[in-house]
Formats: sequence, structure tokens, C-alpha cells
Amino acid sequence: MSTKVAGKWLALVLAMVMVLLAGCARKTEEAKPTEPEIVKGGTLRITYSSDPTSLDVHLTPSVGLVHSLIYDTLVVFGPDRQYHGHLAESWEVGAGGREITFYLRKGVTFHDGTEFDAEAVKFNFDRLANPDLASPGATWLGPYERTEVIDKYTVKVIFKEPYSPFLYSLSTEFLAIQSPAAIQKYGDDYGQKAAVGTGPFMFEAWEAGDRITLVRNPNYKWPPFWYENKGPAYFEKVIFYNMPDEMTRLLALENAEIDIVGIPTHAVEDMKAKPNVEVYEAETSSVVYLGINSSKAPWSDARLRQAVAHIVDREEIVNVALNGMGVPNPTPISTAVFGYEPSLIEEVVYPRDIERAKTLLAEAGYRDTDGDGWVDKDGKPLVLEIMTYNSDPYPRLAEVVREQIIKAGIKVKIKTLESATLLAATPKGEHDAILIAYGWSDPDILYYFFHSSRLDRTNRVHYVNPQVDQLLEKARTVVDADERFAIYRQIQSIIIRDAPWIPLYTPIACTGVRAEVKGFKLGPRGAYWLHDAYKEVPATK
Amino acid sequence: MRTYIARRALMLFPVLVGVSVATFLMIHIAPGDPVDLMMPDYGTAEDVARIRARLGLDQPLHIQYFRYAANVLRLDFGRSIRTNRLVKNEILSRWPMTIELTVASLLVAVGLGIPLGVLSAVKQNSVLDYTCMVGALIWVCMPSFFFALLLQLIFAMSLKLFPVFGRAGPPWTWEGFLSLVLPAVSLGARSAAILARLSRSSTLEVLRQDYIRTARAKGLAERVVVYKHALKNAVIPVATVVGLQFGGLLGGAFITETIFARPGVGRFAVLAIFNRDIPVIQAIALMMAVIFVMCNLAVDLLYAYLDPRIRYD
Repeated sequence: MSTKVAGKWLALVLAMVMVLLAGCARKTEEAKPTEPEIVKGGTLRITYSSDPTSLDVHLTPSVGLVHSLIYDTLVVFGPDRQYHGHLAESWEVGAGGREITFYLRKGVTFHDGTEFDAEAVKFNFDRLANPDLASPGATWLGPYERTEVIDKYTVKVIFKEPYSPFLYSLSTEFLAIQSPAAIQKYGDDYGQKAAVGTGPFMFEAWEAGDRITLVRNPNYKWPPFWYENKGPAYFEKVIFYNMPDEMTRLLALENAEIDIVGIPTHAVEDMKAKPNVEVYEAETSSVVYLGINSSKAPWSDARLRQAVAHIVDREEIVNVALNGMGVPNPTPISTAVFGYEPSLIEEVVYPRDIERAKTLLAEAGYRDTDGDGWVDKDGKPLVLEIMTYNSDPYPRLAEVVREQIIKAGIKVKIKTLESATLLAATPKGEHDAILIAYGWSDPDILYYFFHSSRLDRTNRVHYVNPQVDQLLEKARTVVDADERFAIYRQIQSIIIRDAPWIPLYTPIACTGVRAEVKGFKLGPRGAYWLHDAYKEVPATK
Repeated sequence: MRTYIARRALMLFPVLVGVSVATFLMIHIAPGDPVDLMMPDYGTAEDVARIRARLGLDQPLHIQYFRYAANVLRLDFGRSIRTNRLVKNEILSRWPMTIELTVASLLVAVGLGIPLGVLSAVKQNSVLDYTCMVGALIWVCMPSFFFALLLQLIFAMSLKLFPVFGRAGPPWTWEGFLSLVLPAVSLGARSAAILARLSRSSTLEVLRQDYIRTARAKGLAERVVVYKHALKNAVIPVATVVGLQFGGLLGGAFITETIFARPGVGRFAVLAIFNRDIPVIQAIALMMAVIFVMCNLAVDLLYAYLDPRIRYD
């Protein structure tokens, strides 16, 4: 009876599907390359996981590749892990470290055609420091007082007191130089609808939530010294696509819809096996650590923290939880950052020794009195509750750490939280421990993590030690690099011994790059170095 | 009818007040401070206080709420804490893309679900019926992210028919249409499955009614019986569910947008929640509430059209 009807329906649907598929197929055939003709150029397609807050570096709490392509900094961090002049050709430190005079590069122009000079530097630093702007990056200027223009290409920055991390600040895009004319012209729209710097790429469009498009700056002839290409970038365009989903990013890279993608540790092996993808690795400026609340009983007893430090096995953590994508690091400074001191490992780091850990626990009164395998004191077992992020790789990491710690008879509970919730919980000081990470490229960051004035914010382990406070304050004002290094060495040795932090490893960042992209390099802090990069573009039309 | 619509529209007002108070309280109860999140490591307490004061976050909660409500009445949703852009513009520029995806997936759901359901009912216990219903069961059970991944692997990676991600343009352009297909299918499949099962059972029920037997007895062609007499009555319960599905699809679009890296309100909302971007979260919650209420109203009015016995006075 109704077979005919159904048959017609099916036929119709099938016909539609076939037409659709035929259409698609024809389209893809058309797009296939004809004669491969190698040229330097094309469009570089990169992903980012969420929109930048602003392209105005004075109004964003974090800067990234997109900022670094639009803007230049006065100072750059080179492949030799030293600071070199960039927009500033050289500098002199005076007044015991309170003043720095910069001699600026001549002949540099902003994308809007205005000239880069001492006034531009003063404008930028004064704007960043202006309390009315309430810039999240103002801290980068330290005890900034003012900037003086000496002449068109000489500028002097004056501090209230010496500020040793300033070269690092200058090498970040937070202190990059933006066009004063453009900032005045665009007002509130600057950083959203316009961004004007002196960098190798010029801002073209930002479709919020979707993509940011940059075009080549044809007048660029001042790349940092380590690049072979001394002229404008090879790529005509760089497009950043907003892609929050990790799996989609990897598929898009494999499918040649994207050229460069950061690769999570669990996918590294897979991506290395793909024929058209090159995987680059770089040690990051991060440290993943187990931080133990040093002001809350029973963990305020340093012997308990030291016992845990004796138990953790960093090699196993890196191999089991990270597929080897990390460098075991028992010091609070990243292996890739100034201040990292491997000699501390022999000297003060607690070697893996479970028996010694058990002895320390016993000294603190914790023994297994009832023979259940767990240590206890006054009938109460010793429990360590570790809070960690709910995102990869932290839950896995926490499991491995737990398996290690329970071997000494300490009970471990894991609480995984969304990052905002976790960070908001630590100032109250009610937690036992946190398993988190930080990324920073200057040892001054230790001030934020261990100075007692930071208990209400970033001293998340509630560590109070007047000697450490004093050393941290002193380190900020010492300009001489060797002297500064020595102070940070001392600070680290105290922290490792007291064990408010048990640093675990420095992550290795992996970046997948399409094989047709040549000349790509990773900088020492894992930065993408793109100025020598180009794509072998097969002619498509 | 007009008074009915006016009354329903008036009821929107208490709903919106309720939604805005609830979202407002929830955001403030949830741990995490937007300013702290803006400067996780290096900000000083003074920096944080200064920024909080600028944003008015240092005021007591009820004052913050009334200020907010007064602004909303003037259709001023404030500025995003994170980007300082006007929330109204941010949302207005993204809604069309979310609506585009939601409508496309609704078309997939209705266009596949209802015909397959009706066909299964008409050809009850046939191979077609079994295939459709087993397929529908699988689709209802399959998590949408997993189905999305399958679609990406098969149709984008292996067959190279569609792009893995993105919105290549408006849907009336060829590229734009291609980039809409996988997201719309992955989002609409579950609803299609629900609608298929529902329209099958509803059609079966109608086909057993007396007036259908009468129609057949009159010697009408089976086609006329099914499509003229049965179908209109069978889709009444289905229409209710379609209306509700629209709301569900709108919510599901949040995940689909993330997986397929399509711009839209969904991803904007997710990011705002992670950053505790209060004005953005509130504005999106209000918009969602308005759309849900409107959908319900539309469904109720559709009843009156489909079934002349239903009257709203």
C-alpha cells in the first residue's frame, strides 16, 4: 500500500544526498594543487584557545604571539639566553641601579607611518604607570618614577629604588612600544579595532571569537640579530584561529587546515608518527610543584614536608604521567630561566629515601601504631589533601603523586577543581596542599610566592620566614647579575630545605608544525621564532 | 488571542527579574574573583583594589544589583570586565551565528526526524522501521561530542568533504554552507532521533483512531489518509517537543561551537564563566531566558493553529 510512498521518499533523499556529495567532491577536486611551484610566502595559520583580552598591551593581563608579531620591545632575550638590544640599541645603568639610559634605534617607523623615538617610549611607560588606566601590567614597571627624554633617540628611565628584574620586563610585550598617535586617535577602540606597533606584522582585523588577521609590514627591516632574514617577513599574512577544543586543533593540523598547533603531552607520540607534521620541543619557563601549607597543622611541622620531599620520585612522575615530556626539576626555578642552579640538587635536595621519610615522620610523632599500614598520632591518621586543577595533566599527575606518597603510610586525598575556584581558595589558608604550576622567566617571581606580604594573594603555601623576606627584598635591588644569582641561590636553598614547595618538573612544550613550513624555530622560552619561516606554497590557481 | 499574548508577554517581566537575581547571586556565591583572575601572579593588593573600585565591585551586593538592573532597563548591559568592550555589541555580533547553527540543526532534526518517524509508523515492523528506531536509539544515547568527533574523522579527515572546523562564511555561500553541515548534523542528530521516536508513536496512535478507520472505509487512498487526515493530528505533540528542543539545541550549540571552533555566543559564555566576567554572564542568561519564554509562547500559539479546538481567550 504505502511502499510506493516510502520508495519515493527514499529515492528523493538518496538523490539529494548524491547531488550534495557530487557537489562536494567536485569542489575538492578543483581545490587540488596543480603544478607545485615553490614560493616563499603564503598565509600562516595558527590557533589560539581563547580571545586575547586586548591587543593594547597596557590593557591585557597576558600577552602572546599575536602581540609579539605586532609590537617590538626595547630588549630581546636571545638564543644565548642573554638580553640584547632591539628597539634600544644599547643601555647604561646609573645612579646605583636607579636609572637606566637607553640609546634608541634610528629609522624605525610605526605601522601608521609615525616615527619611533624617545617621546614614544616615554608616552608608553607613563601610560602604563598611570593609576587612572589601572593597567594589569603596571606591576611590570616596578618602582617606576618617571621617564626623561634626553634627546630624540635617548631616553632615561628613573626608578624610586633599584629594580633588577627590569630587563626581563622590557623583553616582554607588556613593555612593548605602541604608537602614541594611534592610541590617541582610536581612544577606547585601541586594542580592539586597531593595534599599531613597529613589528613585522600589521593588524588587519579581529573578528571577536573567531580570528585575528595580520598582514606583513613591508617596511620592516629591524628583526633581532639571530634571524637570517634581515627584511620583511616571508609570510604575507598570519591568521590566528580561535579553537578552544584540543582534539579539533590536532585534527585541523593533520588535515592541513592549520600550520602550527601546541600539542598536549598525551598526543605527542601520535603526532610524531604523522608524516606531514614536525614536532618541536622546548623546555618552558614553568615549574610544576606540590605546595604544602606551611602554616596549618600538622603540615606546619617542616619534618612532615621534608618526609614528603624524600618520597616523591620525579623521574617516575615525568615518565608515567607525562610520557617523558618534562625535565625532573627539584628547584623552584625553571631549567630554562636565569637563576636555575643545578648544583643545588647535590647539595640540598632531599634524595629519594622512604626509610628516611619514615624516620622523619616518626620524629614528628607519626608511627603506624595499630598495624593498618597508615601512620598515626593520638589515634589520628596523617592525611594530605591535595587540591589540583581539573584539566590535563593535573588529575593524572596527582594520581601518580598519591601512589608515591601513600607508600610512606600517609593518606592522600585528591580534590580536583576548576582553576578559578582553586586559586580563590588558597588565601584562606584552610588547604593542606596544592599541585599546580607557574610560568615565569625571572627569579623575582619567588618574591610573589614566598614573601610574607603576599600571604593574602600569591603566597599560596603561607610560608613565613623573615630571612627569606629580607633576601627577596634585597635581590630586587641588586643590579649585578652574579651577585643577584648568588642571592637567589641562597633563597632557593632555604626553600628546598624547608620544603613549603616540593618542585617536581619543568614541562617540555611540544609544538606541531606542518612539514611544508620551513625555517620555523623555537626560542629558549618556547617562543615561536617566525621571521625566517616560510611555506613552500604549491600554486593553487 | 491578543490579550493572551499581551498577558504572556507581561509574565516575561517577573521571569527576567527572577533570572537576573538568580544569576547575579550565583556568580557572587561561586568562588573566584574576576579581578584576581585577571592578575593571577604578580598583581599587588593595591592594584586589585584599584581595579575592583573602577568596576564598582567594592560596593555592597544589593547596590551592585540595583545599579545593574537600572542599567538593564535602559538596555545598557555594561562592559565586559575582561575586554572592556560593550557587552551589548559583543552579544549582538555573536547571536546571529549561534541562531544560524541552532536553526540549521533544528532543520536537520525536523527534516530527518519527523519524516522518518512517520514512515516508520506507516511501515510498522518493516526493515525500515527497525533500522530507523535502532538508529534513533543509538543517536539518543551517543554523547554529542563523541558524535561530532566521528563526523570530523569520517567526513572531514577521511573523505575530505567538509572542513574540520570554523565558519567559512554565511550559510548561503558554498564554503559557509559546507562548514555548517557537520556542526548542524552533530547538534541536530540527537533531536532528530527524539523526534523520530516521538512522531512514530504519535502517528501510530492516530492511525488507530476511529476517524482514520472511517476515512479508510470511505475508500480514500492510503496516501490521503496518512498525509491529510492523520499527519496534522500526529504532529501536535511533536510540535511541543520541537519548541522545547529549540531551547535544548541552543544550549547544545555551546558545546558544538567549541568542538567545531565556530564563533558564537556559546563559546563567549563559556569563556565568560571561566573568567567570572559578570556582566557578560548576566546578559547571556537574560537573553537565554527571553528566548526560552518566547519559544514556549510560540509553541502554545502553534497549538491553536494546528488544533482549532484549542482557544486562548
